[in-house]
Amino acid sequence: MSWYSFIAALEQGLIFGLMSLGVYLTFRVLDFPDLTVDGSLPLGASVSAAIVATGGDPFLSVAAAFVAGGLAGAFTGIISTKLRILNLLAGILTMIALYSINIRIMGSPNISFLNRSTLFDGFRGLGVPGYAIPMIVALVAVLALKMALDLFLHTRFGLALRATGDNPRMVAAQGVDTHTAIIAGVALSNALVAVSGALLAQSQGSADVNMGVGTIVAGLASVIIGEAFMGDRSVFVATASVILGSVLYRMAIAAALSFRFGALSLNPSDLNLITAILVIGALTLPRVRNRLKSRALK
Amino acid sequence: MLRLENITKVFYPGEVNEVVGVSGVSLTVPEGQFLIIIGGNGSGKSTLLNLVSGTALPDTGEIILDGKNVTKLAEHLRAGVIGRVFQDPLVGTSAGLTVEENFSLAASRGEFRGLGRALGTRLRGNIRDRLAVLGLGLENRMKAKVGLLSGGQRQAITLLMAVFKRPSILLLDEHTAALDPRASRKVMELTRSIVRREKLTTLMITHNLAHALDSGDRTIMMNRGSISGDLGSEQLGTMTVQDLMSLFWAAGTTDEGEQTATTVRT
Repeated sequence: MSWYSFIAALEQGLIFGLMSLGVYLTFRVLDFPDLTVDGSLPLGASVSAAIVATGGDPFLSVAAAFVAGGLAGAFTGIISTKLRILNLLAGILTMIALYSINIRIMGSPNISFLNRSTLFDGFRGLGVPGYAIPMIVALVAVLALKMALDLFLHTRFGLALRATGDNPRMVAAQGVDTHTAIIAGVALSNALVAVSGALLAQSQGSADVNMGVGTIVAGLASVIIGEAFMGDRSVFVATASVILGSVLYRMAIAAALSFRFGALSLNPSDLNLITAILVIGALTLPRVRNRLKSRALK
Repeated sequence: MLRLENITKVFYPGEVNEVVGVSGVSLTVPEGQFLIIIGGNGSGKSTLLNLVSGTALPDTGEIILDGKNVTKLAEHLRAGVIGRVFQDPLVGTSAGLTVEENFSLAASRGEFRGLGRALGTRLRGNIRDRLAVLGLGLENRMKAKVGLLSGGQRQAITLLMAVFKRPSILLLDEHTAALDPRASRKVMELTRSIVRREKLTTLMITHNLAHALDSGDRTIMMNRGSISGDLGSEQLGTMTVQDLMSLFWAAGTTDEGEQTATTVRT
């Protein structure tokens, strides 16, 4: 792997790390399997791209993406809690609806704004090499949002959210409105995913309605890989592990794609297979570790 | 003070598996009374507790708690004035959260939960003091995940959480049934001392008739959704467990589907 592809993989890992934080919030904290993300990632990208393509401010476009993602997540939460639609299905329904909405937002299935100044252009000329700017901006954004999420999960409302995912029967008896908790949690999660999509669009200079396919798989892979390496002792550790997992996942993919054994090499289309193998490996790692540990103790 | 007026709850009305949970029950529990509820399985004891807590809503009747009509109020909206301990020790606390985080939830029960800090120094000190009274060393394990604790410890914590903010009524649903004899005794002693000290209005379901005699001020017996017996402290004071057992059988208390017992055990 060259230095440039290392930085590129790191940049991808960090940008998708935001998405993984969103997946962590729904899947792990709220125990709500949320498939909306396959739609809210391109939603964030579409909103950001549409605003920048028409001359809008890139920073505002990311803020708008955050709000849009929040609305999408709130919708999933509402139809799940108030209309009693199964949580898995609720996410899928929103995701499907967002396909059409994203095309409406962009005015076409994809949009490009290569002639416009992106979010990252605002940081040029600060003495950092051009190719590393997106990575550093992403790093700062991810760390800031991670810290904000950590703090949030230790507030009274955030704690109620964690308890809702852990023991819904108990929280009702403690006066927590589980519907509000779920709606707010799924909204926040998708807001983070949409920001991830917005940053992605800014780094690519374009947005496409199909760019979200497989987001949930990548997100879960990142969460699982991160847990295998760092565990989830505390909220602070868990959110860090998710970001690390995302970076490792993208690194592994970059390494796999640059792998050559004689005439054999892997194509981007082999990505799904690579992901499946990685996730199985990550899920098996803790068990192998425990087995080796107990053998060593004998 | 709790007042139930003509409460009825029928499950699956009109269907094949229709079951009458509670039928036309009226009950007044004065302030500070420790009321024991006994009865066979399916007699309506848990349904009654669920109706008071809001887990289930009645079909007819009114529930008035400390002067406020809570009949149709959702469970989480009346939780602020209700303390509850469940039969299953794993339900009352959140296994994935720490001891102090669980108490933080109890401390903000009924209050608006905003973006303020869940655990401050003052709250931590408060929790530590209350845990120290248990004598279980839990005050030194406040940052431990509750899932690591035993059933008895979790039940003791659930009880402390239920009374962390003084409730208008304490609901105990066979809360020692799933514990080993030693833990059961410890939790029961804790219950008695807390209820006596705080003079809490308490409803306790139990299958343990000895509890009825040495803990309660009053015992009601339920059968097939109605109250079939109501004994005050004067009557209970002279009775033994055997006497209470006989009354139990004589009242024709049945398990769901069983034939009515007509003989009195001696």
